[in-house]
Amino acid sequence: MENIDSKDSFIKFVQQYQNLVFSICLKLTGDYFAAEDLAQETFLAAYQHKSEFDGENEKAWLCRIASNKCIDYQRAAARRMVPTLEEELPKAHLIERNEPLRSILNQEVMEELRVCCHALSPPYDEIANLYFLEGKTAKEIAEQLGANVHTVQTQIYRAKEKLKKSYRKELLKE
Amino acid sequence: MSVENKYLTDEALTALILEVEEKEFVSAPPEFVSDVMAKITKAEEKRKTVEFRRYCIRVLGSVAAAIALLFWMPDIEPKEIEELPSRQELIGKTITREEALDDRTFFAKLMSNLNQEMGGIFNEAEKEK
Repeated sequence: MENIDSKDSFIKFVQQYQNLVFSICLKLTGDYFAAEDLAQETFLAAYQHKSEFDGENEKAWLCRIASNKCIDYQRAAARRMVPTLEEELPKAHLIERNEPLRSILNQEVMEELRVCCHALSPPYDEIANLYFLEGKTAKEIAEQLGANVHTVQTQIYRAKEKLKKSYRKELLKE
Repeated sequence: MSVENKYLTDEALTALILEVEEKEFVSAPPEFVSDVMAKITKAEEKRKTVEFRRYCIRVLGSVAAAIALLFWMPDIEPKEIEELPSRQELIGKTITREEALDDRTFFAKLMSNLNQEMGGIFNEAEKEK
């Protein structure tokens, strides 16, 4: 694989496939933040095992890594669940044996994220909206709001932590 | 999608990629690339630290083994070692006069034999002198 031999070429590689890998992870997990972590893990694994790539189809190879990680994540999450009553088990996170994986629409996931972002208290709701929904970087948000970049970064971090809690509560309700 | 042997089959994966690309393509979070590179850098540093610690353990183990050998090697009794010849004894052996003459005689014989084999070249040289 010529294009990930150096750090610069690997950055281009990530830029080329980041949306695809993230979309696949989002579809297979239905969790925005888990998909983000898994997508990062995918590229990390690709970097560490680039010597094992046979050079045929890098897109398929990368997506294979992503899907395997997502499936491992789903199985680990299912094992971590403490079985109580059947009604309380979150259906989105169960993988039954010999049953097809639940197809999760990415648009539904993004809509749930949007609802959670709007539900945050100020100023985190605006920060979350600009960062997660409009896809702006911390620097761009700081320029738009006329705030310090480090302040914005801290607010993004806190908004993320709050979102993770509220977002996963919403997922469990389904 | 179906799961066989725990992971997706090649056909299922291809279908998933096509479906995502056509209908469900979403943008990755902002600063995703920088987060990935930060993760890679952290993993590389961790790997180097682990390798260095393994190296230190190997070196320390070798030093410990060397020190252990110093204390645990069996003592060697001096009497068991054969007495080595002294310097005088070694250089005291000089060649006798007779032996030296024998050597010269031997050399003369060697030159004589060589002269004969070469057809008396040395004899002619001596006559010219």
